[in-house]
Formats: sequence, structure tokens, C-alpha cells
Amino acid sequence: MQRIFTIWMFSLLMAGACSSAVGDNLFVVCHAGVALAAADVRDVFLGEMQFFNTMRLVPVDNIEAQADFLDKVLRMSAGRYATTWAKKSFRDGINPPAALANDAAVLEFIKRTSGGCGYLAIAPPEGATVIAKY
Amino acid sequence: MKRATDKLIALQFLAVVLPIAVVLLVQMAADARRAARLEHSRPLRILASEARANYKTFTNGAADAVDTGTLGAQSVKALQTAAARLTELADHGEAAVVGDAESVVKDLAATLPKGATLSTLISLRSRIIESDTLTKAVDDEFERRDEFVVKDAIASAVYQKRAVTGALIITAILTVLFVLATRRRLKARLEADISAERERSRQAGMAEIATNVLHNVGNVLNSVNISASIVTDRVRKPRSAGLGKVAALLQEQAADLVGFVANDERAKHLPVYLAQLAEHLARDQEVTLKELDLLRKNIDHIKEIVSMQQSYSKLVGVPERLAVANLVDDALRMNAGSFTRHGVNLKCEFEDVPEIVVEKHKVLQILVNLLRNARYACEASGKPDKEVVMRIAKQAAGVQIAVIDNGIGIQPDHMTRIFSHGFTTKKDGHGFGLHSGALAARDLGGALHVHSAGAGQGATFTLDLPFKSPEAIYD
Repeated sequence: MQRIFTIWMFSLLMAGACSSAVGDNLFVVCHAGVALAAADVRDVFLGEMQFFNTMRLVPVDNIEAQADFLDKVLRMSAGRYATTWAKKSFRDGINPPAALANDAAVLEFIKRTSGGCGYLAIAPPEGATVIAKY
Repeated sequence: MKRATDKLIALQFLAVVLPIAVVLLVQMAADARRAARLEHSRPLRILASEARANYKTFTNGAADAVDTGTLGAQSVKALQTAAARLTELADHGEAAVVGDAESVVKDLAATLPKGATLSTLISLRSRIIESDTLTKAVDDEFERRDEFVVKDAIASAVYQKRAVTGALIITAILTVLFVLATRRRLKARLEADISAERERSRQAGMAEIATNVLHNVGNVLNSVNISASIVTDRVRKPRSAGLGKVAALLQEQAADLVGFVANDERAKHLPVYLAQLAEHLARDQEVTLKELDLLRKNIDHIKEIVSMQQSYSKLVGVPERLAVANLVDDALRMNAGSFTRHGVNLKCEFEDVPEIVVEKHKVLQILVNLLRNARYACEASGKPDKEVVMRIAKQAAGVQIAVIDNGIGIQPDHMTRIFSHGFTTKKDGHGFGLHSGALAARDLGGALHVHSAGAGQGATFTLDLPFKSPEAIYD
């Protein structure tokens, strides 16, 4: 079991390393109707803010852009992010954000999931709800 | 009547008590039901709460394991306790509520018998989170049940308030209806009573008027009888019989009437006889005319008594301006025969007084009564020197007529009752004369008083009359 945790941590680190090479811009986007403020982004991705009005928020990680996101938005390491979520999930009984492979998967998820929020390394398409740009 | 009133009061009491009693009984039943439900749910709620608290102890321990690397024994024990509480809940018949929570937590406890490393916990994270959701759902369900009971109690209190308010409104309406019904019933009864009382009063009034008429007419009828007797005596013993004899003698001597007058001794007495006869006839005529005049006055008085009594109902009188001495003379004449027959000496002491405006026959009624009583008192005393003094005196605001006798007098304890209706000391009396006299005096704006030094000391009745009676003031 310890091995699984190590692999999970490694994959997070590797994803961060890969994504840092993708580009300089980072866009936080949400499902239409989720009008979050830029200041809410950190709380949403650390499980502190789980609802927008009555809508349950569903944050997802983007493996390709995660390192950039952790660095620019959450300002924490991948290890710290993983342990924070481990504690959060045990204490509060909530799951950490699902990790999707790339921008396209994130975009697709946000498009079809009510309350979905994610971040992209590429500019979002026309009409997407952009919460913040880093 | 009393039974009907008691029934009404009982109905009113029921109207007030029943609605409130029904509401209270319903509420007591509801309270008992809630108490039973709470009694049943409370231990289950405690079990669910303990299961949840122990599971949270376990998850906190798991969270701590992120820092420490291992799950402590206390956390494992808490997990096992949570599983045991869920099992107890299922055993208490709450399996439907517990659902999968028991098996999932139990499996988790079996997987972590003595503790675990962080990696083990990470690998079990989805099950830990699932168990967390399930134990929370169980705890929430029992909490919801308690909340439901509390909400039910609050709703019941609100309902109770409305019901009591409704009961009070119904009670108030019923009370008002009962009060109105009672008032209507009492009013109808009162009106019936008043009507009956009015009828009784009317009959009593009619009886009093009839008694008054009979009494006063009876007084006058005595004088009428005396006058009628005198006239009858005069008619029965006609002095004209002698005149017939003279006429027959003259007819016998018709052939030689001159010789008869010149030579017959009987003819010599004829002129004296005829002169005396004429004188007697003239005196008889005078007495008869006087008695007939008195008779006419008495009959007029009877007529006036009757018409006066008739006018009582209309409260109408006819005041006249009269000389008081004439009024008193009339009253004396009506009783003169009676005084003479009973040997009562009558003395008059009249002052000069102004004329008064008064209803003549009311005053006559009073005076005739007083004189008759005075004559009776003198007669009853048996004294040889029976005397009645009739006195007229001027007062500041009117005239005083006093009838003073030296008869049997009045006992002190009779003084206060002497004008009361029905009070009399005469064997054949009715106790009406002085009573009606006092009322008549009051009607005239005056007053009738009595004074006596006691039994055997005689009595003085005084009639005070104003110069103008109240009826005349408005003329």
C-alpha cells in the first residue's frame, strides 16, 4: 500500500514537471453559471469551498498543468498538496479532485459537469467561463 | 323556574368547560404520544451519535496518520466501537436506517484490526470516505427523527394555542348566546310579571274607587234618608184634611149660607181656624221645601262624588272659587240631622278668611267624613255634654279648617296608623274614610292632621288648604 502512495506522489511530481514546459499562461475555467471570484480558486481546489450558492463544486486536476497551477495559484509543492488532501479526505470525508490527463479532458469534463472547475494551460475556447488567468 | 335556571347555568358551565377540556385531552394524548416516541428514539439516537463520534475519532486518527505515518490503536478501537454501535442499532430494529453502514464499517474494522500505515489508509481512502458518508447519514437520520419530534411538539404547541383560542372564541360566543337567551327569557318573564302586577293594581284601584264611592255616597245617603223621612212625615199627616171638613160644612149650609154664618156657633170659629190652617200649611211648605232643597243638594253631592271618582281616572278636577264658610255650612247641613238626633251640640268659630280656589266636592267629602267621625266619637264617649267645634282660621299660605270633638279620643299607638288604609276603631268601620280624606287633602295641595291628648281626651282634625289648589295654579 505504501508503494501505491509513493507512485501516486511520484506521478503528481512528474505531471508537474511535464506541465511546466507547456506554456506560460494558466486559465481557471468553470462550468457555465459558476461565477466564482479569482480569490475563491484556492479554497475550491483545497476543499474549503464546496458549494457555489446551492451548486456543488467539482474541481478536477489537469495532470499536464498541475505543477504550474500548484506553483502559481496554490503556491505549494505537489507533496504538500497530496498530504493536505489526504488529511482533508480523512477528516471531512471528501475526495480530492480527480486528476485528468490534459486540457482537452478537463474542458470536456467542465462542459458536461455541472459545478465543474479546472485549469488549462491553453486559452479556453470562446464562451467558456474563465474565472482567473495566471 | 329554579330548575330551569339551574339547567341554564349547567349548560353555560358545560359550554365553557367542554371545549377547553376536549382541547386539553387531545393535547395530553399528543404529548403522551410524543413522550413515548422520544423515549424510544432517545437511546437509538445516542447509539447513532456514538457510532458517528467514534468513526470521526477514527478518521481524525487517519488524518493524523498523514503526519505520523501510522494509525494509532485508539483510532482502531474507535472504529471498532463505531462498528459495534451500528450493529446494536441494527439489532434494535433499525436495520433499515443503518443500511450498508454496519457492514461497510465492520469490514473496515476487520481490515484494520491492530492499526495501519499511511499507505494502507490511502489505499482504503474511498472506503473510509464511504463509511464516513454512511455513518453520517445514520446519525443525521436519527437527528432528523428527534428534530421531527421537536418540530411536532412545536407544531402541536401552535395547534394547541389555536385550539385554545378557538375554544375560547366558541366559549365566548356560546356565553353571549346564553346570556342573550337568558336576558330574553328573563325579560319576557319580567314583562309577564309587570303585566300581571299592572292588572292586579288596576283591579285594586277599581276596588278602591268603588269603596270610596260607596263610602262617601253612604255618608250622604244618611242625610238623604233623614230629609226623605221628614218630607214623608209631612205628606202622611196632611193639614189639608181640616180644610175638607170646612168645605163639607159650607156645602151643607149652602142653602142658607148667610144664616149659617150669622147664627151658627161653628161659623164663628171658622175664620180663626182657617187663619191657623193657612199658617200651618205655609210652615209645612217651608219645611218641605227646605228638606227638598237639602235633598237636592245631597243628591247633587252624590252625583258629584260619582263623577269625581270617574274623573280620578282622568286626573281631572274642576277647581272653583269658594267662600270657606259656605263650604263648611254645606258640610254641616249634610250632618245636621244626625247631630240633632244624637244630642251633639255643634259650635262654629269662623274667622274671616279669603276665598279659596278648590275642588268643592273633594273638600266636602273630607269634611263630611270628619264630622261623621266626630259625631261617632262623641256618641261613643257617652258624655252628656257632647260637643263638636267647627273652626275656620287663616294661615300664612292658606286656610285651616278644624273639627274638634270632646269624644273618645285616640290612643297614642293609633296615631301613626290612623290614616292608613283599612285602619278603624269602629265596629262597622272600613278604615277608608280618613285614608281617602288624607289622599284627597294631598291632591288639593293641602294636608290632613290629627291631634289627641289620648283616650277620652277628644280629638282635633285639621284640614290645611292652600289659597289655590295645584290644579288651579295652572288655570
